[in-house]
Parts: sequence; structure tokens; C-alpha cells
Amino acid sequence: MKLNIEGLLVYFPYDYIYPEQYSYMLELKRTLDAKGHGVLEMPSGTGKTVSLLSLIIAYHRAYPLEVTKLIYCSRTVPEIEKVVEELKKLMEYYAKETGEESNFLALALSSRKNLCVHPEVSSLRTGKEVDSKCHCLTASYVRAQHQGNANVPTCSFYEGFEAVGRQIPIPPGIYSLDDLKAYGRRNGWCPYYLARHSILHANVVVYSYHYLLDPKIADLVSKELAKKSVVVFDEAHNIDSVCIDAMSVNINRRTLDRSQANVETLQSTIHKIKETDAAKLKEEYRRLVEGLKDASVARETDIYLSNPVLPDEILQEAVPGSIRTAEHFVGFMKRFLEYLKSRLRIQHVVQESTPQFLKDIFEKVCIDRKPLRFCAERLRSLLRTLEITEIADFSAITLISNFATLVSTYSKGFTIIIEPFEDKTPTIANPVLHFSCMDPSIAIKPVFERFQSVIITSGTLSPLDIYPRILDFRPVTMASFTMTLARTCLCPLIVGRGNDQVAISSKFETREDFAVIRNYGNLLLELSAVVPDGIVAFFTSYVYMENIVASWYEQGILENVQRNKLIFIETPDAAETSMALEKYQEACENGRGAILLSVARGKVSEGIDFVHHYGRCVIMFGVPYVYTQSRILKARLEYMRDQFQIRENDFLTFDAMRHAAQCMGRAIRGKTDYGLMIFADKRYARADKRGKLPRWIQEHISDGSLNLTIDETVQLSKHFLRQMAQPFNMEDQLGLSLLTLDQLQSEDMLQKIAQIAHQI
Amino acid sequence: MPKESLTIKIYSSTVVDSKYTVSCYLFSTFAMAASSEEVLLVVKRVRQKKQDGTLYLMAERIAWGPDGKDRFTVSHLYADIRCQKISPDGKAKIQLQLVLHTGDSTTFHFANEASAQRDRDSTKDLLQQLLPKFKKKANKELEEKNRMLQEDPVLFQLYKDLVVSQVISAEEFWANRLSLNSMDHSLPSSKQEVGISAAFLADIRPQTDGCNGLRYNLTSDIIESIFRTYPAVKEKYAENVPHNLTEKEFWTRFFQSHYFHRDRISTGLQDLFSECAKQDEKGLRSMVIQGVKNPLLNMLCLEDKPLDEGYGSAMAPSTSNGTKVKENSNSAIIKRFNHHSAMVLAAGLRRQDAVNDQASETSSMDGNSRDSDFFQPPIKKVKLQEAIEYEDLTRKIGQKMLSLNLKKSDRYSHGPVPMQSQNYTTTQDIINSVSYIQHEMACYKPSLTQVISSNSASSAIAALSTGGILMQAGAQQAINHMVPSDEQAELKHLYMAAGELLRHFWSCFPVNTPFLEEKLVKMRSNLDKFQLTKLRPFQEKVQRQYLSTNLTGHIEEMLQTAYNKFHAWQNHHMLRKT
Repeated sequence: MKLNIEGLLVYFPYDYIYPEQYSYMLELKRTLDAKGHGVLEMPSGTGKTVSLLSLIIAYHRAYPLEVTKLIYCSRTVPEIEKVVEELKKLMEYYAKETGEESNFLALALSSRKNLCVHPEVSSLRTGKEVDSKCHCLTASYVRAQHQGNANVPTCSFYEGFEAVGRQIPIPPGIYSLDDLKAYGRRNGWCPYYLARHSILHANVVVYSYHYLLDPKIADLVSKELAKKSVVVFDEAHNIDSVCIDAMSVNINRRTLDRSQANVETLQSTIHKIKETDAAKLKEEYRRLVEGLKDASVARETDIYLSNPVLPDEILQEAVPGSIRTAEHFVGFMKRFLEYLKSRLRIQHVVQESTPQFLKDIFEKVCIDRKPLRFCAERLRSLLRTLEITEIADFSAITLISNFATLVSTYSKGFTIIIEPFEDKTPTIANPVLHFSCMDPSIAIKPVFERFQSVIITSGTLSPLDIYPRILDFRPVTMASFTMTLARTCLCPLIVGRGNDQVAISSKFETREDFAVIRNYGNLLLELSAVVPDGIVAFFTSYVYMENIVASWYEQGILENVQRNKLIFIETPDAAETSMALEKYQEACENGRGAILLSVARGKVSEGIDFVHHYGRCVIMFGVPYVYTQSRILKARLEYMRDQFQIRENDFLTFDAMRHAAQCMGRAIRGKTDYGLMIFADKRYARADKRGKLPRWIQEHISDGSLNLTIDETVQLSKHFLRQMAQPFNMEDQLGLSLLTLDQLQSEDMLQKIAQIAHQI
Repeated sequence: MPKESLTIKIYSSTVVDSKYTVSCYLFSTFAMAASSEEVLLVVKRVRQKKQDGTLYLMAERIAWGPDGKDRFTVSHLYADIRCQKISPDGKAKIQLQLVLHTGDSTTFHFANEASAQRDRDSTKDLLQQLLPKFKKKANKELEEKNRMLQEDPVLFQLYKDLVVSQVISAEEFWANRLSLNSMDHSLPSSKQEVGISAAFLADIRPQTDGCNGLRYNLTSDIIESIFRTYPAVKEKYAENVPHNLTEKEFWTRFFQSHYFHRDRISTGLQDLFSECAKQDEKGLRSMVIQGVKNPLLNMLCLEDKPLDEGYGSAMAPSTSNGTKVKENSNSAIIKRFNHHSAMVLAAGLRRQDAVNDQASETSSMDGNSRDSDFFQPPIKKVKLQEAIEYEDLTRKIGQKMLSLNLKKSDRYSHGPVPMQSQNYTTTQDIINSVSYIQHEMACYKPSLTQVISSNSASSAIAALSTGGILMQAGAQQAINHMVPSDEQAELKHLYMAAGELLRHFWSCFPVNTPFLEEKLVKMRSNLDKFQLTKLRPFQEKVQRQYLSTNLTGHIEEMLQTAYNKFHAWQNHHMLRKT
């Protein structure tokens, strides 16, 4: 249908629309109008993606100079593919309605592993191997050698792309990863480089967070993207963790040993080159004197996305003399490594700030702050000069040099923690240096600064106001949308006690309590008898799940559960879990019914949807608090208290509740779907926990269902399931939670819709 | 509710005539296709109700007769037996009890001092083999008949007309009907395989026997479940029983093994089943390596670009931790549950696989039921489409149909054509001719000078309009109106019954076996009976009311034809005999 959103003509590829979709588009339009950032929470399964795409593309078509590009970031590869698929649907609708050939280019970008078509390289298993092998075949000096000696292998696809593909723009259309591969195969061009090249002039780019947030990758891929782009972070409830991960470094003995080996290899290579081709090193030296002027010019003229690892000051200066020659640099790195080694030789935990660390390193080994800052750049240049092909082998020394640059660049927002052993195994010496980022805003800052509009959206972002604080930006809109429902298709229940009235909770003091474990078991057992098809249960941590499963097994609870359903369990091994997951779905599909035991914060809870019969009930055993004893977490909490005025407990609860909500949200994927949400911990009843759940879950928790026993839960579940099993037709929804164009235009409906968005 | 008696003739060394009644559900019929019975085992000196006698195990039933009489006083079809029970070893009386589906039971006491134990065991073993075979067959047959009658009111009426009124016997009625039907239903019925309860191992809860021992109760169902779920155990069983171990020893070892108690850490002792454990491990691994079909579930490919080693905060459980997970008993339990569930699931699907594709047997051995990932892109596409679909947002365009999958579209568009070179037309020919006709039609110009005269035209119109020569199909309609509807219904039933009988009659030709000969004679008398008991009364009734119309003429005609044929055959037969 064609919608009129405050004067903007929006093509929406469906015949009906949910009221909240309309409301969402309204808010989105206002955000774009204001050229600001937005935080929007809308329940999963209400068609967030299609609303986003419809509106932004309509905006792009209406004002091509205001919004030139859409950068859509999602978290997982399947999500990326889904977005492309939705986009295809939308553009088909455009083509059908307008009847014109659109000149529209959209594409997905992913790592080489997902895009490579080279027969040998693509068969490698890990992304790292693929990257490394690709580099072996496509590095510029390898290709130069190939010119002289045809026996040096190169990648024909890359050559094809370099020869022809770079000049010929990819024809307009929507390219998923598979489409890109097919196109690349057909033309003999490398799809990966083709995609990387094409994102510069594509109208829509779909890729994962890392391409914008991880400075190591963003610098290569995304720095030239136009300023007038709209950036969307979908499924953004964990965006702060992604930012922090991108900027944090861990160094252990193994890393240092491997770096040592790297340095030695570098040294011998330099020796060799010196004998054969001294001119090359001289040339590099000259280049370094000139400094990184090019990059500096580019940033001033606002062409590039800035790189947090490449601070502004560096650009203006030449590489310092002390590390300018190759030998000096290698010597410098050796010294640095020795220093780190000495720091790892400790008996007790050390925590210090970056200035303290810099002071110490200056006193001990006379390493200045300035050359440290150039380490990453200097190493990159050296590796290039020395024509090193196996980049992956040098990952250790690259890590060290990145650490050097980061530690010398940021005096705030980071902490250094050196632990002599792991907490669980105090007898085994395994010293680790954690260089940990505590401020997620550092990584995402360039994104907010560079791009006109950044939209942060997810099904679970509550409480909304915390995100602008921890990411340090000022949104123009912040809104949470509820789900309009013709029937209450979600049923959140808080189970607070067992039938024996013992309070159930995963809190530390009682979690190993026999009665609690038994009650958890009884809950699962009873529900397995009343819930049809699939049940997904989440535990707070893997260790806790292992213990509980073991004691359930001993008590014979699992045997009884097996009479009702098959049991599948997530394991730390991803491949094994995938297998279990597929079997789980198979069992739901053929009517046997199954239970999947899984872990909050695990891969299943983050990436897998349990639509319809794959998840009729989700049980959350306990409150999924993060492991609070970790020093890194403590440091981060302290930092947040000081910097953002967020109390420790608030953040911990917020973090636990967003993960709980994520787990719960897995089961509801649309209005025709339905599912039970069992919160099995009495602490959920408290206002501070409950209040942090997304509004669309919160509003269905009645006061009567705050502290249920297992029996009561089963009764309520039965009732709910029986109601849900009644036929549900479109007519029931129409006018309430599903609108036609006519209904949408009526005055009182528009008033109703205005209430859906809950502004903050 | 009709009760029937069946007479079974037994042609064997112990020719005994027994008459017994079987009453089950609505229609108590068993097609006794084989008219002779084979005696599989004869056990002398078996007491029943304190009376000495001989026990016979035959192909389809077990029977017992007291010494000195030539009748069986006890006879049970295997199909009626629910289970057998035996007295525990060491008891003074060595007995075997048969429990019937009806709940009744019969106890046999083996009284031969020298070989009682042996006799009993051989009887038990034989029964053990025989019972499962009949269990399914009998129930299935009865259910099948019942179902057919319920689903098909016409057949039900026919059954009432012919069997209940004793024109023909039930077995005759079913004789060629069931085979016909079992053909149609063989496909789905063989597919419907009862799955395995996931908790079958839990059902064998050990019970303490009071003196420091454990007792496991195994039934044939559980054994079958174990075999189906763990083919490795079945293999072991086949290898070892009965050459190396007795059945009992085998299962004792099974329950003692580390394999059964997976939560116990392996003691390193080599037992019979350690190999099975290894095989399971291998199966699990191969399942894992094979990966998943649905790309949306593949955890390995979820993340686009995992952080390089060394980056990332350690707040999340580090991945390096996962690789060196201790092989503790807890994770072994988890693995075992996953494997067990996968195997149970696969066991349910395995039989289907075997039907569908013999070649995939190897893959189904390790609990997998999938093809290669050759078809991955389409699956991915389909799954993605499913994932983004909002069924309530789109207008429904009718129901989704199954797409027609044609191997030879030629056959579909013009049916099977005899393969003769001169009149075989290809699709191309047809297309050509159609287009030719279309062309002709397009170019058609009426030549108005060469039409028929107005006279003949009007007579043709008259002939084609109601009441005209060509439109006189109204005679039957007249009967429709003249005869009241209940007579019509009765006539219909008569027609059906007659048709059924005639079908039986004609199916005897060509008469080439003594059995058919017998049947033919019988059918002929059946027809007579039918004419006498059914047709005549109806005729008389009709004649009383409507003298003019002969409603049953056609039926009589048909019968007459059959009689003529019979006479011809009889004459011919006599001639040949003499």
C-alpha cells in the first residue's frame, strides 16, 4: 500500500499494516527530518525491518540530496541475509507499482569467508585462514612478482576484478551474498573486493557492526562512506559490548612468545632484504618522514570516517626518528616485549590506569609515549615493505602494536589489569594482561560524529535512557512502541515459589539449594506435560546449567521429562549445538515435541528465533546476572558510576534484564505467534527488575501473576494455551492490530496510533 | 451383533475338527486364507486344568487337546494372545500362562519330569517368535475392515445385505475385497511406524530383589526400542547371542556396562559395550561434522567476523575456555542426552528412509536422516523467505497448493497413448494442429451461398429441441418420478448386492483350480438364494403396486446370463470328466 507519512509518500510492500509500524515510521521520519540520532524500541515480530527500509528508502527517493545512503548494520549473517531479502521484496513492490526500472543498488557485505569464490581459498574452514590465504594471493607485491614470474600463484578472480571490474560499475539491483557470489563467478571477478568497492556508490549497504565499530576493519572498509548517510544499528541491545570488545586487548604468555618469534622473523627478513634490496627500505624511510600526510588531508576534507586507533595528532607528524628505520623499530618492539614479559611475572593482581602504565614503562625501559602511538602504523608499513604474505602469522605482533597505540593514545576510559592466574584455578600460573575498554562511546564516537542520522533500534532496549548515557550521544527521538494485539498472545508469568512454598531464585546463596533445583525441575516437568511442541529453557550460565542437569539426572526428573518430550542441550561447542538445534526443530516439526536447554548470553539466546511451534514456551531459570566477581566488570562499573552517574546495581540489573528480555523475545515472532514466558525467580516480581523489562512485556504482567506457585503456573498456562489454540483469523485482528489503508486514514485511528509510541 | 462360526479344516497329521466361536468387536472375521495348518511343535504331557494332554503349536494358533480325545478343548489364535508369562526358575511347577486380549488366561503345566523345563522353554521361544508377527497383523486386519466399513456406507449396506442376511459368509465377502484394499493402503500403512518413547530406558527401573541384587524388567518392546535406537547394541547382540552368551547374560552385561551408566566415569575396564560407546561417539561426531541443513541454525556461521584472538573483553566467557573443557561427567551427561534424543528421533524416521532410499541407510545408522548439502541454496532461500514472511500482512490468495510435479508432461496433457508409430502424436504435433485450427478459424469466411435449405434446418432444430427425436432421454426420468423413493433405494441396494455377487461369480472364471470350482458352485447357489430371498419379494411388492413397469428386468437379465454361463461351464465340465 502507499502511505502518506507526514507528507512523504511511502511504498509499503504489504496490503495491511500494523498500527505500530505506522507509528514507528512516523518517529523515524521525524528523526530523519531533524538530521539527528534516534533510539527506537519496537517489539520483535512487528515488522521493524520492513518499516525501517520502507521509510528510509522513500525518504531517499524523495530527498536524494538529503539522505544519500542507507547503512544497515545487523549482528549475524542470517540477519543480514534477511534484511536483503526484505529489501528485495520492497524493491519488487516499487518496480510493480511505479513500473519503472529503478537505478537502485543495494548489497550485502561480509567477510571473505562468506564471499570468496576461489575454489581453494573458499574451502578453508576458518575466517582467519581464508583472509590469510587471500592475502597471499592478492597482495600487491605478490602480483608484482607474478608479472616477472608466472609461477607465482595469484587469484584469477582478483585479477579479473582489477583488470576490468573496477572500472565497470555493478549493474543496479539488490545483491545478497549469494547473488554477489553468482555475479562474481559469472564475470570472473572477486565478489569480496567487488562488494567492498561497490559499497561506495551503493544506495543501501547491509553489513555487520564490525565494519563500522571495529576500527581495524572500519578503517579499511567504511572510511569513505558518505557523510549524508543514515546508519541503522538493528538488534542493538548489545551494542555497548560490541564497542568494548572492539577496543579491548588481552595479552598472555603465549601472545608474547609468538610475538617474540614474529620479531625474530622480521629481523631476519630485514637482514635478507638489506643484502638484496636495500633501496626498498630506504624508500620506506623516506615515506615515513613525509608522514601520514595523505590521511591527514583526507580527514580535514571530511572524506574519511575517523579511526579511533589513529588519533589526529599522529596525522600531522612524521613517524618519530627512533622507530623510523626498520632495525630500530624491531629493536624497539623487542624492548617493549621484554617489558611486557616482566610485567607478567607477578604474583598478585595489579590494576592501573594508562598514565600509570606509561609512566612505569618510561621509567623502566625508557620508552616514550610518542613512538608507542605510532606502533600500529609503523608495523603495518614494515609488513608491507618486507612483503610478508602470511599476515595471519603476525597476528600476535599486530596485537601488541595495536595495544601500544591504544595505551598511549587514551588516558581515559581504559584500564589495565594484570592477573597472575584465573580465579577458578589459583594454583595454575596463567598471567594475563587485560587492557580493557570501559567506555563504549570511544569506539562508536566517530560514527555519531560522522553520520547525519544514526538509528539504534531493537526489540528490547529498555530502559531507553541508559543507551544515550553509556554511548554518549544526544538523540532527537527516543521512543518505545507497544504491540497492539487482538488477543493477548504472550503470557508472562513470574513463578516465585514451588508447590512446597520454598522461594525459588537463582541468587547466589540459594542456587545450589536442593529444594530450588528440585522445584526448577518440577516446573520443567509440569510444563513439559501441558505445553505442545517446543519449549526453550534458559539458564543463567553454562556452569549452572551443567550442575542442574546433573542433579536432575540423578533425581530422575529428566527421565520423567523424557516421557513427554525429547531433550536437547546447548554445549560450548558451536557445531554440536547447531546439530542439537536442528534436531530440536525436527522433533518439533514431526510432532514429538522437544525441550531445548540453553544459556542466556549464549549463542542460541542471541541469534536463533523460535517461531511458532518451535517455541511455545520460554522458561528463564533465574536472573541472568553477569559474573560479578570479575575485576574487569568491577572496573567498568566503577568507571560508569564516576563518569555517567550510573549506579552499579542499576547497570547490573539493566544488563541482566536485557538478556532475560532477549531470551523471552525469542519466542514471539509476530502477532499470529503465541507463547508462554515463564520467569522462574521470585526476584522478577520486584519493581526494579520488572520495570526494566520492555514495555510490551511489562504491560501484560498482571499483579496476580507476580508470585505464582508451580501449580498455579500450570493452571494459568493451560488456560492460556487453550485460548490460543482457538482459530485466529484475520477478521479478528482487522481494525485492531491490523489495518487497511482506509482504516489507517480514519481520524480516531490516528489518535490511537499516537498513543502507541511512548516518548521518553 | 452378528456372531459367526467358522469352521476350520485342518489337514495335518492330527486331523481334528474343532468348532469354536470368536467374538470380537463388530465383525468377527478372519480371512483364513490357508486352509491347511502346519504343526510347528507338539509337546506331550502338558496339563491343563489338571488334565493331561498334548499341546500343539500351529502356524496360526496354539491348541491343546486332552489325551484320548480327538478334539481341541483349548484353542487360541496367536492374534488373540496378549502375552505369555512363565513361572520363575526354581519353582516346583513349570508353567506357562497365556494372557488373552480379553483378559482371560490359560495356564499350561508341563508335567514331563525329564524334560519339562526344556519343553517349556522351547514353547516359550517359539511363541516369542510367533506372537509379535500376529499381534500387528490381526489388529491391523480387523481395524482395516472396520475402517473400510465405517468410511464407506455403500460397502456397509452391502455387508448388511449379504453377510448379515447370510447370503454369503463374511470371509467370502472380504476375500477379494481386502486384497484390493490392502494394495491401496499398503503405502501409508507401512509408513506409519510407531515411534519410540524417549524415556524407554527409564521404564526399566531396576528393582532391588531383597538380597543385594538388582532386577531389571525387560519386555520385548523395550528390547526393540533399544535395538532401534542403538543399532550398535543390536549388532553386538547379533554377534554374541547365542554363540557366546545367552540372552540373559547379554542383557546382564548390558546393564552392568559403563555404556548404560554413562554418568559413571569409565573405569577403563574393557567390556562388551565399550566399542558401542566409541561407535556412538563417532556417530555423534559425524553428525556434527555433517553440519546442519538450515543455514539459519548454523552457529558456526552466525557471526560475520569473529574477533581475532586476543581482542575483546574477557567479560564474556572466553572461547579458549571452551576448547579445553574438562571431560567431566556432567558434560558427558549432556552429550549423552543430545545423542540419545537424536537417536530416538532418527529411529522414528529410519524406517521411512529405508523405504525411500536404500542408499541412505549408512547415514541413518549414525542417527542422521538427511541428504547431502547439495540442495543448500534453495533451502536457504526458502528458510529466509519463511523468516521474513508476515502471513497476516499479506492478503490471502487462496490456499497454497502443492505444485504439480510431472516427470513427463506429455503424459499429463494427453494421457497414455499407444506407442504405435503411425498414430503417435507428439506435443509438437498437437500444438501445430491447434495453431493450424486457430489459423483456419481466424481465416474462416462463411460462404453464404452454400448453406442447407431452410426446411432441413428447421427440422434439425425441431429434432434437437425438447421432445424432438434426438432428445428423448426422458423415459427413465419418468420412472424416477413414478417410483417412490424408498423403493428406489431398495432397488439401488438390490443392484449393488447383485453386482457384488455377480462380481464374485465372474471372478471365478477361468475355472482352473479345484478351489475355484468349489467357489463357483457356491456362488451359483448364492445367486439362487439371492434371487429367492431378495429379488422375488421385491418383484412381488413392485408388481402389487406398479403392474406396468418391470423394474427388476435388468437384474434378472444379468442373473440369467450368469446362469447360462454356469450351465455352459457345467456341461463342459461334465463332458471333460466323463
